Amino acid sequence: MAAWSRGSVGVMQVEVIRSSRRRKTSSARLVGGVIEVRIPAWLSEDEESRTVAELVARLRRSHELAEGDADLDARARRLATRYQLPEPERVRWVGNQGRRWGSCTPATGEIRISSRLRRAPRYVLDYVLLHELTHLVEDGHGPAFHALEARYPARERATGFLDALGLGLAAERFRAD
Amino acid sequence: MPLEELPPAPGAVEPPPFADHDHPMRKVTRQVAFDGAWDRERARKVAALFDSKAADWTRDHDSPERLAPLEDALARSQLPAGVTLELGSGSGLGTRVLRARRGGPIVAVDLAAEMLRAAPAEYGWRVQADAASLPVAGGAVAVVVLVNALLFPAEVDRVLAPGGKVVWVNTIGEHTPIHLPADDVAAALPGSWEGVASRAGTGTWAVLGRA
Repeated sequence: MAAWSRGSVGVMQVEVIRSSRRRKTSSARLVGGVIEVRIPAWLSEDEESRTVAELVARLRRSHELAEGDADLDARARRLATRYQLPEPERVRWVGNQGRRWGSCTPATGEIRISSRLRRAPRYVLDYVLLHELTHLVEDGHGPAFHALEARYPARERATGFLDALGLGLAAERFRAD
Repeated sequence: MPLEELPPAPGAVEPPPFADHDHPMRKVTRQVAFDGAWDRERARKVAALFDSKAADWTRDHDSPERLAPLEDALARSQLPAGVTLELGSGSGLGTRVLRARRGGPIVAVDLAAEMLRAAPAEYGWRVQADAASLPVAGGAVAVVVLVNALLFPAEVDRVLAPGGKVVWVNTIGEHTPIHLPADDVAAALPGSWEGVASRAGTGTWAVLGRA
């Protein structure tokens, strides 16, 4: 048996499901753009709002469900226009890229950018976006890919920046631009 | 004034404004030059990084405007005859210029074995070594050349003969990731140094000697 309620936290819709089958654990996950929070039925209203706030915050952090995705997407589209590349289907920040700075799935037009670059200077972010946008038209890193990418004027500085970060040779604290 | 600024070479490119002083590679370059921040772990990481870049290095960096500052430095300064030692020689682009412009033995040292493999053999002896501890006798070298390279000041000073010169080049000037201004090169080297500096192509150069 479950009781449902709907609300929102920030811009995200939240659906709270009280479950009599749950004893202690609460959980939150993203279902179709809505954060679904499951909590034990016996929680008080105070406990519910505290638990929901906590779980939603955690979910936002882990999925990088940030407002920033829209900015990132718009930035990528402007670059695509300027460099005469196809517009991506979707561009978003992700927190689980491992050592990669970005990735692209040409089949779906989806581009993912490591949230480690959130605070990188814009010329570095733009370089990574342009690199991934270029993969929408060129698969590998061959001469044709290189020729397209080499149009970016700050390429060498940007790759040097990423190299130093990747080596862990310098602290990952840099200014916002 | 220890460094005399010569007028730029004809065709030198005026660089776009620079405002990126906390570029992490620049920080690393300063740490190495001024604080001796170098150990086996760093050497291993840097070697692996440049090994991974070796296959594309020549394609990405071989252009007349990038090599112009080295050409101009050799053409417009007085350099002693003798052994030329290039540190951080990479895939041999600078070594090619040195071979064309200088007589005598040329030794090209790099930390990354793959870079040396990518470098043509005819430009000079290729030696894999860490520039923090060179397999070179003290005072054996007439000219030390560094193109976009990390500076290990004590070793450069140790191997350089009396009257020897240091040629410092950044192929895209201030925008080069591994970069030091000429004055900082002079300041990092042990003792007192003087020389000339200028711009050519997209880059900057300095030629320094002990004062």
